Amino acid sequence: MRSRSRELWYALVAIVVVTALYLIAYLQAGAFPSASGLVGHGIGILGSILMLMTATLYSVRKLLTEARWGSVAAWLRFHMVTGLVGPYMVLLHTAMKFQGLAGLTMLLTVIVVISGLVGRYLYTAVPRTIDGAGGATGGPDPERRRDKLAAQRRAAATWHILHVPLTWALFAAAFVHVVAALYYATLQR
Amino acid sequence: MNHRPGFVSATGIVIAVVLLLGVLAWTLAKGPVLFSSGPLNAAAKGPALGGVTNHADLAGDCGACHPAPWSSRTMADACLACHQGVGDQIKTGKGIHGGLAGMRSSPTCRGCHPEHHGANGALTVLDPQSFPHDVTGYSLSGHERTAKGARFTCADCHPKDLMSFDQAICADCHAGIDAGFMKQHEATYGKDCLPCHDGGPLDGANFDHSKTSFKLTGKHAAVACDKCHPEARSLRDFQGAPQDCYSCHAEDDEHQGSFGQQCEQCHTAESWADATFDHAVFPVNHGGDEEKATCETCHPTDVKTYTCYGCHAHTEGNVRDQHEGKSIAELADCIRCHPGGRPAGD
Repeated sequence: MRSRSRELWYALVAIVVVTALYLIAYLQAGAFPSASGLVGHGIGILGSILMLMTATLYSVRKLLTEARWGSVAAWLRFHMVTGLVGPYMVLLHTAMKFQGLAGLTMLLTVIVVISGLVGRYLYTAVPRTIDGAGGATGGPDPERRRDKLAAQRRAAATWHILHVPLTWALFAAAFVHVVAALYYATLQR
Repeated sequence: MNHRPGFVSATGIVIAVVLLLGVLAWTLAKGPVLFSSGPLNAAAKGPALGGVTNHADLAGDCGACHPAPWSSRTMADACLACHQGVGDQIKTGKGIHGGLAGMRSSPTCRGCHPEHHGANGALTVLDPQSFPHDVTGYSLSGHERTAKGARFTCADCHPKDLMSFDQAICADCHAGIDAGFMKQHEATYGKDCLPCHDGGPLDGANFDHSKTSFKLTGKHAAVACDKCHPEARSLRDFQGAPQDCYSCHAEDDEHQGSFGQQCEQCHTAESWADATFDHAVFPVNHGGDEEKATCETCHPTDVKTYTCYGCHAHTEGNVRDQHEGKSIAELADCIRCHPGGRPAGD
């Protein structure tokens, strides 16, 4: 297995397992389990926890250069797995209803995930050095190749400007959604 | 080396704040509609309650149905503020809601009446398998599957609407199952099903007379129902059938009342002929084999009184002679001094 695709396979396996369990609930209910029921609520909470882990743990690991808790590369894989499985669980939580702020939160989730996938592609398509895997760019001239590479690296960085701030918007919307859901539904007597 | 985690982003914080302010502004302008999980029902017609014809007319007034969690008001209180007819049912314990409210663990309004399912969303969603139908006074324990094997739906018995029920629908189905029986049954008991039939586990074909206070033993088992329960038109009528022998068998009394009305003292339901009696107070074989005594020998008029003068050995004259000189106040009550028919002194 190519080591570059490992995280996608892990995510796929997790998604298949989650889908199988969810299918049992779906067949019992005869419909998508409602977002406020036991299954809908539970899967939303678990998905949100995965997404919180996605947003924080990889960044923290990158700071702790002395730490021995797995390589940065491994944590990046972890970031990508939770960043796919968490949003998938949140999608199931919606019971395919995208009304109001809850719908906006799901939309932001989708945008953040897509921006993450795009970023992953950019980062693996653009080599780190002129000699990196993926082949040389810019032709035989090393100067031109270096410049072209730098431009591509800057393009990748631009992606990064979207991915992180959009995540802030996502979590702000999600926070308000959770508070509103608690007020209007969960804690409703 | 970075001193901040990668997720810390000034742009991100700005965007988050903008979003929060946007949500706040929208909510102040239009009410908390951003937090609604779906449109409210707009299809209900009928008289206005609480100033609106349907829930959608409440528009952005979410608090009309969603009191704050820390408030002492519950959502049910909010429902009943407008749906006062339901509140009356609950207060009086009458009707479907009175019955439901009287349950040990009564359901919430929203347990059966969902909302936010769209302008034409159903306002009552019931599952015949889990709805506590017993509160209506009729159990569905015998109505899980139709004669064809399909699961019963509410509409099978309530084709018009859930709050109305026409008994004629019982006969429609049951005549289809056994027309001959239904014809005879209606001829005997009439067409008013509900006064007798409660749908419970002992109803109809499952009825077991041995679970009642009167066991149908002997010849009673073969008797048609209306012979002991004539003109019965309700469960109360059936339960009120007399259980003493004489109420039904007075005309069969060959003793014409002289032995009292406690037929069961000597007779069982097996037959009249095999009568037995525990005559512990006096041996029935008194007098031995020479003269077989019958009941009438000692009880010529009724079983409450007796005389020993029925046998030739005990004429009035003989008895007086044998008791001469003795201060016997009452010669007629022989057993006082001669229990068991034995001579005095034994």
